[in-house]
Amino acid sequence: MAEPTMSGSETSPGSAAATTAAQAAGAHSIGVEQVSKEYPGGSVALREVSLQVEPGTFVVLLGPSGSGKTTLLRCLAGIERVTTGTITIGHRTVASDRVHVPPDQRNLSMVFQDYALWPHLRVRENVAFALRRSKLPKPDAQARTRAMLERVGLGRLADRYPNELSGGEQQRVALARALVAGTGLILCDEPLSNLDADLRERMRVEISSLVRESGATAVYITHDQAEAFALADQIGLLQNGRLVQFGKPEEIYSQPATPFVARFTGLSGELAVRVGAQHAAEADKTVEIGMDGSALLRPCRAGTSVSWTSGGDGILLVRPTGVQLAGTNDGDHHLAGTVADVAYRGRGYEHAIDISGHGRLTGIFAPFRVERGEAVGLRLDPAGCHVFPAVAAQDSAVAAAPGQAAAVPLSAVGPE
Amino acid sequence: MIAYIASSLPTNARVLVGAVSQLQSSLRDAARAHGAGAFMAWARGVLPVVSRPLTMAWLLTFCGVFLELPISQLLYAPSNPPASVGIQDNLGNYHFGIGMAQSVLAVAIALAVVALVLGGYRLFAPAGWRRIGAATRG
Repeated sequence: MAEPTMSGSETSPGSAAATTAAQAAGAHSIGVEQVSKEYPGGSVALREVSLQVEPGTFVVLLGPSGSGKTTLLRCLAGIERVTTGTITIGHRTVASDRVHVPPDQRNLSMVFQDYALWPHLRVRENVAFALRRSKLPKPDAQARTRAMLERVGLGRLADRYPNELSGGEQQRVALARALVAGTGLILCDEPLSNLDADLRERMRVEISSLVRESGATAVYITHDQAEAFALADQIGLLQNGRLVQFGKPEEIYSQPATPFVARFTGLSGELAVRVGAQHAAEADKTVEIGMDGSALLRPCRAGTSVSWTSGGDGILLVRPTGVQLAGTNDGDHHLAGTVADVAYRGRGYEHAIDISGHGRLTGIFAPFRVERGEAVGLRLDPAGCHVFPAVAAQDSAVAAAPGQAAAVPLSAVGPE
Repeated sequence: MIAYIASSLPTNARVLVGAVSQLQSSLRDAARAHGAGAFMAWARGVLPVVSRPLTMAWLLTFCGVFLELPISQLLYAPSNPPASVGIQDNLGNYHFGIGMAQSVLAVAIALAVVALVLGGYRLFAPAGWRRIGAATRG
C-alpha cells in the first residue's frame, strides 16, 4: 500500500501570497520529526509522528480517544516532554531528547477544553494576562484587551467573573485570551466539546474567522470529523499514536490512505467484494469489483490506493456521497435493496437500505422519500467508493471506534 | 518543631487534599502557555484558588499547636515553657486563679488571632480571591 505523504508544504492553504501574509503576521511554521512519547509505566502515546506545517495554516488533528492527538498538542505547547524526536517552531528547536523550551518561552497561546479561565480574575484580567509577556504600557494593554473583548462580543461583560458567564461566553473569553497577544501559534484542545450543538456551530465559525484573521498558525484537535472538515486547511489523522494520513480535507475524504481513515471520516457502509486484476494501464486508481451471488447487477469500479496486480478479496467502503438511490427499472443501478428506515433531515431524506445477504448501507440521501419496505436500486459512484484488501480492512476495524464504521449521517460528514 | 509538624501534618493534609485535588491542572498549564514562568504560574494561577484552604489550614495548625499539651510537656526547654505547660503547672500547683486567668487569656489570644487572620483575609485579599467557590452559571 502506498505510504501517505506527511508533508504539508505541498498543500499550503492558499497561494504563496497567503503564506507571505501569514509570515508577515508573525505566524510560525511547525516541524515535527519522528516524535515519540512514552509515559512512565510503558504507555506509548505517540509513535514516530512527523509532519510539516506552513505558516498561517489551520491544521486539525483528528482521531478517536486515545489516538495521541492531545499528547501531540501538549508536546507542541511544551507541557509534555517528547521522549524522542524533534519539534521546531519557526526556525527554533523547542523540543528534542536533549532540549526542552518551557511553554512560556515558545510564543504560543492555547485554548483549553475546559476553558481554563482563572476564577479569581475578571474577564478583562483573564484576557490581559496573556499580554504580560509583551510588557506593553498599561494603557496600551487595556486598549488591546478592550478591543479584543469587543471583537468577540464580550465588551459589556469585561468586569464579570468567569462563573458569571455561560459556557459559550467563557469559551469566547478563552479565545480572546489566546488571540490578544498576537502569538504566531494558537493551539486549541477540543475547545467546542463542552458546548451544545447549536452553540458549537456558531463558535466554530467564530474560531475559524478570528484565527484566520489573526494570521497565526493554528493546531486544533477534535474527534469530530464534521468539525475537522469544516475548519481545516489540512487534517492529520491519528490512530494509536501514529499519524496515518496528513493532507487537505478533500484528499482525506476522496483518497483515504487506510480503511481506518475512511471509516473515521464517514461511511454509509461496507460490502465484501472481489477485486479484478488491475492492469498496468489503469492509472486512474480504480479497479473493477464484483460480488458473490447476483447482488451486483452490472460492472462497477471503485477507487483504490492499493496495487491489485492479481486481484483478490476486498472490502468496499462506501461514502454517503458514493451511493445514490435509483429506480429498480432504470437499468443503470448496480445494487438492489429494500428500504429499512427513512429519516427526515430538513432538506431531504436519509435512507437505510438492506442489501440482501450483504448488510446495510445507511445515510443515503435523496430529496424524495421512499417508504420502508419498498424495493430500490442503488447507483455506486467510483469517486465515493474505496476498496481495500479484506485483511487490512479487518485489522483497521479493530482499531476503529465502535459505531464509526457505518451509520454516519450524511449531514454529519464534511464534504458532500 | 519537628514534633509539632508531625502532629499537625495529617490533619492539615486532610484539610488541603480536597481543595488541591479539585484544582484543574489546566489553570497552571494555561498560565505557562500564556507566558508565565513556573513560579508566576503557581503564584498567579494556583495560589489564589487555594488561598482560603491554606489560610484555614494555617489557623488549624496555629490553634492546635498554641494550646497543645502532651508534646509540649515532653519536649519543652525548661527555660522557655510554652503557654499550655505554664497553665498546667499553675493548675497542678493549686494556683487556680492564675491558671484559670492564663487559660482564658490563651483562648482569647487564639480567638483574636483567628479573628485577625480571617478579618485580614476579608479586608485585604483581592476581591477575586474571596469569590472562589461562588456558584457557576449554567
